[in-house]
Amino acid sequence: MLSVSSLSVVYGEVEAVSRVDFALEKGQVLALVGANGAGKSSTLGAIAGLVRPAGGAIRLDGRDIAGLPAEQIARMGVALVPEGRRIFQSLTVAENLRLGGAVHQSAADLKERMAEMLDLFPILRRYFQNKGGNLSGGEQQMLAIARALMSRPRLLLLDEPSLGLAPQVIDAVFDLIEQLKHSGLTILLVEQNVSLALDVAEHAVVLANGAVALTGPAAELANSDLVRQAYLGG
Amino acid sequence: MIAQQIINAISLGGVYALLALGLAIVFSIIGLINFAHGELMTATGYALLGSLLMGVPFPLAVIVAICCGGLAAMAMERVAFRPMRGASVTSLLLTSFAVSSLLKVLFQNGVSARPQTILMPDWMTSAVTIGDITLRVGPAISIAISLLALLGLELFLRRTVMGTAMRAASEDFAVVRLMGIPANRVIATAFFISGIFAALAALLWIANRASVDPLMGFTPVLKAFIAAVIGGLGSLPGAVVGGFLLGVTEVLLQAVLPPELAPYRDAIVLSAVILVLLIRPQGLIPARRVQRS
Repeated sequence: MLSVSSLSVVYGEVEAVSRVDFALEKGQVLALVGANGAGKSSTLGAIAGLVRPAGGAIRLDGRDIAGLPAEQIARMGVALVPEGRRIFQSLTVAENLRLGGAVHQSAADLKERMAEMLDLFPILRRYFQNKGGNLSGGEQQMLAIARALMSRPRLLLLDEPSLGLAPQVIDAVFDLIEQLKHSGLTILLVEQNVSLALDVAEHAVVLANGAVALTGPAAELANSDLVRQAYLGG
Repeated sequence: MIAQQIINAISLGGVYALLALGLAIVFSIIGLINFAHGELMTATGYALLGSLLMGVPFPLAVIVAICCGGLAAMAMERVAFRPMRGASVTSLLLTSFAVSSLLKVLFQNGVSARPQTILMPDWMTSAVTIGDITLRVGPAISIAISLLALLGLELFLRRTVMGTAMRAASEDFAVVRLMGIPANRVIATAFFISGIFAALAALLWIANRASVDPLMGFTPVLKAFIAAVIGGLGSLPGAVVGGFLLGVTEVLLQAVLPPELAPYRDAIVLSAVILVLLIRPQGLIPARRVQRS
């Protein structure tokens, strides 16, 4: 479904992502892990169209989307849950979801999807008319994911969903990711918590200094010496 | 007499509020302080003048002029500001100065540097007497139009998807694009609204002065900029509050200052502005922007 080949992202003089290759099949969960500054978020940004790649190709079902504007990529079925959640704080939960579903053509579609999301996230039904900024961190993360799902994406990009959340809340978020995986959604997950990421993903790519250091089935990587020493604390 | 002063004050405040809102709505979305906003007023004025000279009936000429203001704002964005998308605040500011100067020169050489008289219909300059109070019709209409425009904008921002997207864009534009909402459409809509509001303000301004000249937009937009800063730059409620506050203060000072102090009116008003900003540097109702590293 998604194939990234020889992707490079450059900020000024710094090459944040350097000739990165990986592919993601339909229905798969791929984890993109690595240390801070390894180029994970830049890779996601390039796929979602927020960052213009300096080189390489990003193919979505065969079509090169590298360098297209973010709004066009979103309309092709790619939804990004950005790092730090970035929900619209002054807008209500309802309005946040409404914008997430802006790509829907008909009011009936939108209504149906909204109902599905409120069933999946009962907490959002409770706070439907509350301002997004008044929700707790975990609730905001749920809202950010629900907002992305509103568009019925084919590919969900999750950027650091566990960042800044309490342990029980992280569990709830990953239970949800597990649930989405079982529903058949294709997910590209960027996560600093490597053990959690390798648990939920089938395949993983380890980035270091902007380049691919390791790649393979998640279970295998979890047992590799390099990953254990560098990311799992021995 | 006092009633008339109050109405004049609110009426001037309404004009400043419309202009300040136009500046704020564009600033909140793309971080541009559009100093060419005044030229949208001037363009509206000449569109009204031109339509009337061609024999277009007054109500139709007003509609033509308003549309002209909105379209001129969109054209300005398309030609001058879109190529500068993502540039620094300073570059955008300088671009808007360039657009402003260019248009002023065009108006001066293309039309005339001298003020052109516009004859307003008699009923607009007339007065009505209620009991023992005589009120002028113009300022009352001005207040009504300002309030209707504010109400219309509020409904648009609250009830439509585009309006909601515009409020969201003032917080975090990148994420609005991630929702599949085209940036160009959001920005064009912001400029269109700012143009319509500049046009309404221009018509109210002209109704009071009965003439159009190439520099007519400068003073009111400078005042509107001050109003927007007092209110909190980029904050829409702030722009409205700042506009009314500035207008009311100006008119009331005009009324109460002894003649020997009257020339210092603007100096006194601006000193008050500095005082407000010393106490509340972010303005009266600060704009909400997501802080990001």
